[in-house]
Amino acid sequence: MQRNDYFEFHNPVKILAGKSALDALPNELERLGSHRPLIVADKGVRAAGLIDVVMKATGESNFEPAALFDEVPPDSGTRTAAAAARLYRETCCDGIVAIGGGSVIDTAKAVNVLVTKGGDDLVAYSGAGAITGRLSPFIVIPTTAGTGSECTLVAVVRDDDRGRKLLFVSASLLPDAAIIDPRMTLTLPPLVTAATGMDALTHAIEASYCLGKNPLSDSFAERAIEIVARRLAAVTRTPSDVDGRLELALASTMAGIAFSNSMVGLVHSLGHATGAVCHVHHGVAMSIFLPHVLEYNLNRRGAEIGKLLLPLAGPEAYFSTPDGKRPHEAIARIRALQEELAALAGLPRRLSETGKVKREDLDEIARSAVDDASLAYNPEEADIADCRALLEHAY
Amino acid sequence: MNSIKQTSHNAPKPRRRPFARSYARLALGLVGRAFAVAQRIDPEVRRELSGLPRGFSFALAVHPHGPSICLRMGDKGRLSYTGPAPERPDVLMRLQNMSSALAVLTFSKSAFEVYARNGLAVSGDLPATMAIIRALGLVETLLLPRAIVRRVLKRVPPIPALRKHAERLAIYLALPFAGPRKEHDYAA
Amino acid sequence: MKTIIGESRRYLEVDLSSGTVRVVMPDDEELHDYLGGKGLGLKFIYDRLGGKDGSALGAVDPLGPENILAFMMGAFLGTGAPCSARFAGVTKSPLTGLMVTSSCGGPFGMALKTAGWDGILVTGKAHRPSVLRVDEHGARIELAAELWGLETGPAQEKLVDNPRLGALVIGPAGERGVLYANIRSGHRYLGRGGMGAVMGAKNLKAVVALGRSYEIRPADPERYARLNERARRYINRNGFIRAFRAYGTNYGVNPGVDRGYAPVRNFRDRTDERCRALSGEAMAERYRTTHAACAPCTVLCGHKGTYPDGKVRHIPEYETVGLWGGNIMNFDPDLVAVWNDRMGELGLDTISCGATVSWAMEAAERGIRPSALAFGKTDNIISMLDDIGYRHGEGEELGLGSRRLAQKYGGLEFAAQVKGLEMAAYDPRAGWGQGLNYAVANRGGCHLNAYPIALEAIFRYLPQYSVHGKASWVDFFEDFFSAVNSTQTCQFSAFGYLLEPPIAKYTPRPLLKIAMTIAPDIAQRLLDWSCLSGLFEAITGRRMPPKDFRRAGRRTHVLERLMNCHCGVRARDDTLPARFLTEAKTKHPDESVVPIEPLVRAYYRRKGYDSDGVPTARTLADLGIKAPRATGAQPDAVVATKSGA
Repeated sequence: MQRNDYFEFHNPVKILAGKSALDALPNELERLGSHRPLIVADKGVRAAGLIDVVMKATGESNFEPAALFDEVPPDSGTRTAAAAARLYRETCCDGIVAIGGGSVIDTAKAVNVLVTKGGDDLVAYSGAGAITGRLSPFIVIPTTAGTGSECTLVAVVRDDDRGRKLLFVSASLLPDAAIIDPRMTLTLPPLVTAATGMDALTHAIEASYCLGKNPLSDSFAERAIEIVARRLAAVTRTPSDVDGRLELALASTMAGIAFSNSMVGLVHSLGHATGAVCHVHHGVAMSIFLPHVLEYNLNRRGAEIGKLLLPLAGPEAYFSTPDGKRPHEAIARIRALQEELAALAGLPRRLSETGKVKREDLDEIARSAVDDASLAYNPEEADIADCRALLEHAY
Repeated sequence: MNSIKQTSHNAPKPRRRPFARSYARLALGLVGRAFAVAQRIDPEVRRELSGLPRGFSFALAVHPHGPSICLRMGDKGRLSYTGPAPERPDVLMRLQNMSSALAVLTFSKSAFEVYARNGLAVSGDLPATMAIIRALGLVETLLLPRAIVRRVLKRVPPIPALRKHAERLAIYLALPFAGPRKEHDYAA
Repeated sequence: MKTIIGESRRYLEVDLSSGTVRVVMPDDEELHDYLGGKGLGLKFIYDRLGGKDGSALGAVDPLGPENILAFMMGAFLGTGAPCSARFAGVTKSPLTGLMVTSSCGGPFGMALKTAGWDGILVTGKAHRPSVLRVDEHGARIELAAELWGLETGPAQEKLVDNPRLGALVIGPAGERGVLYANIRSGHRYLGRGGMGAVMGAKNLKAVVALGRSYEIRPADPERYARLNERARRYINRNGFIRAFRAYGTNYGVNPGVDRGYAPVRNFRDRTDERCRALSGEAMAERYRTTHAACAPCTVLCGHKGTYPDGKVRHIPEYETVGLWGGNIMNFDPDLVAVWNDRMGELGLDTISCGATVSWAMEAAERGIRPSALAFGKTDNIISMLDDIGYRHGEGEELGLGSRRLAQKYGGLEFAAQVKGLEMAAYDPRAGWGQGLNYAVANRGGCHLNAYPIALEAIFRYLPQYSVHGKASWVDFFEDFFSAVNSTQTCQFSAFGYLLEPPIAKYTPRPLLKIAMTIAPDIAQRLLDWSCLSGLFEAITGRRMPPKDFRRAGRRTHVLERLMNCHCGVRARDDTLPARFLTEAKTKHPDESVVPIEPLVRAYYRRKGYDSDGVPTARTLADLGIKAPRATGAQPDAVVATKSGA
């Protein structure tokens, strides 16, 4: 069924990375013609002093935000976006700087849609390709090395009125620039480091075998897998490792670029559903489901999964493993990484270990998973019964 | 703002593909009618679509000016084929160009694959779209020989052979009477 | 381009004294209750100047820094809906000491709305003559420098040097505080009540907006397109509007001569055959007129034509022609156009100026007050206009308006004004409804309040000399026009919305006439304005059923009355000058005086006012009109752009 006769690859995000990348923020804003940006963040980012880090790095410049919106909750929704848009309009902002993790970045994307396209009703813009044209200047400074949201064309926001997730897919959502500075991720606690790292790994792995895969996204994915496999455990062990932090952050961005162009599959369907029903952290859910779904997809994608062994384990291990055993070996490597992280940071390995998922919830998660759009990109079909079985395995 | 369209005399003219277009129109019409009939007779199609609210409409169109079909959930929970797509259906699936459209409508590629390659854009409620696509897979199974269905679906839904053949017969018999239904101006 | 759906909901509040600019955003309830435009402007001012219970409004000096001058863009503006270039000005009038609202077309509204602002509230007083510049990021106060002192045309030319810009300017009259000075935008004016003087008192020469930063899109484009199409059809086939389209508002001249509402010799005579030389029909032939209107205009009543001296001029509107024609015994249409242009350049309201001049002529004739002016004498008018605009010689005194002059010299009985605002060119003795309208209109002697003369003497749906149904129709049209002026579309287009939908259109005319006269309540039920309220819904995305639409208009109108009551208006003010109550014999064969008392009494009952003309507590509670809401400094309000001055 796989025929690579046509694909699209799109990554217009300017990436500024390095140990002093933040210092370039004022120049970027100027390039984009924004003089009064709105900063979108959350309370955690503010409490961790990350906004001060940004203000200190840009201290000797004309960078002067017009307003700060730091009330993004973990599970952000349409009302939050509308409130931030209102602040943007009231204070006559002309651009957005998002400082935070996935929730903050997705909220900022939604705010950008509202302030450029008008109105307060996000529902009208939901779906794939419903947003067109250029949006307002938008710069992202990620504070977790995992979601890759800084380079994706997707935003997920809760519909606060109807209690469901809204998915926005459009190239217009892509930020104009992403600033990857290790100073922003240094303070991440080990568990979050581990979970977000596994999130990035999942993005890269799913990007490398799902239906939308293409040669360009493959190269980004492969490099991202290699970095995560090499660095994640070490950085979880020594959080102050600046070089490791930077590399992980880059890996997350690369994984973001990869999956933004090839999309993700069943791991995400299950992960989104588990997050929606039981509020399990996205990265944790990714980590739990990844090996199970790889096994599920082995029938259709054995060869591709086998190739993952090379970035996961390095050339020696790859070439010393016989062809037919590589897929299983790759999955075993992922399991080994999981075990290591569980020992280092207490990263849950199965749903029961999260303490949030009850066995009764599994049916609802399965029902919700088959309606998740990322299932469309999974190579193997999965119906409610299949999802239920997978969940049972992962419990 | 309407501006006067001016093209220079040597500007290349678009090369139309009348046959492709006619085929797309025919195939879309067929799918639209079959969808409406199948929802009435097949319990699984009906179950997949049972989550859609009354008055919900979804459309499949060939972008930008190609043929289109629209199906609408009636007040009694019955799906009807209502002809070309209105301006704003609840879910609009757009085949992005004629090549993608032909790939899907000649059943040589799966809708998922075309979607993954940006050949199909969806605007509207995505969970509902997933249900619609699943239902579309069932309709295709009912409509087409197994050999073709295997090519366009990741997995052929297991429908008992006797039921499948009976329903296939019923659908083909009912096709000429299946629409499009002129309906009252429900937007007013 | 960035998009606004319906409205941006953002209003700039500019304090010229301190140079601060902040952004205010009304909440859903305010927007629903007052629609926008005029209604919301009144509400803003009530909240800001009313104090605890509204009574503080009375003490506000219209020409003091505390007065607020609001320019309010309605929801329709910028969408391309029929007649949607209009915006409202709202302030406390120095001429009447009451609230005044005014509707205006021209390029300014379009520029401000597409700059991303739904309105500007100007308060305070600039230390030196200034210009307020607005763009998508906010507002900036600049020195007016050499602009101060310029007449409106040259000032506009200097300020507007690219098509994205739209300006509001005042002329010498506004700078010098002529009490009926107006504000100009393109070739249209915020005409009445002396808004130009308020702007001048704030040391503000002009407001300039840089537009086209946003595109305005309706919330429901499909429904909008359908209703827009229907609205155009209604407007295009309405007979009254078609007559206006062909001949301009001067179509009203000939019926005025026939039915006796023409102002002749300071409203003494009611008719004069010579006035026909100034009719729309005659001018269309004489000047070979063509349309001259803003882009979205559908009524197309504005015209221009080529005058015998070879110049192309805008044809003066009916009110100007009436008051500067027969009312001062001038029957030369060429002169009216020249004076009209001159008043435009000086920034003078042609109605108030004309009625003040005609009063001075009659006062001189009666020996009450010596004057260079005399009926039929046209050669010194142009120099008198300059004197008024520049406040010089006799003109300085004439700049105070007819009421102040009559209070000083006597002659109130023939001063054609109500509450200080000069009446427009309809003699109320020709339509008793119009008499009631003048007496009770919130602005004073305003013809557009309910415009019943159109029903009485132009359409002839209602008998001219009868009290039947009049109070009811004035009540209805006040509500309706208030709503129309809050969505901001053209008041004339309202006839299309009201009279062209099937029920009104296909009811036999005699039947409709009888129903309108003896059973106005039933007739009002036959009218259907769902097309207009539907357009409002489609544009803003907010629910606004026809019933709520009229209620919002009523709320606006009653709030304005309440604000006027706080400024001192009572039942004693709701009357007409003695001329219209006592002088029945005129040159017109019909003898008539307006029986104002029973009309006003009936009107109060309908409107829910007490016998002294004050809205009762129950009326206010029914409509949900609350005490002013304190609008202290909001912590999240931020200075938009630093001031340049």
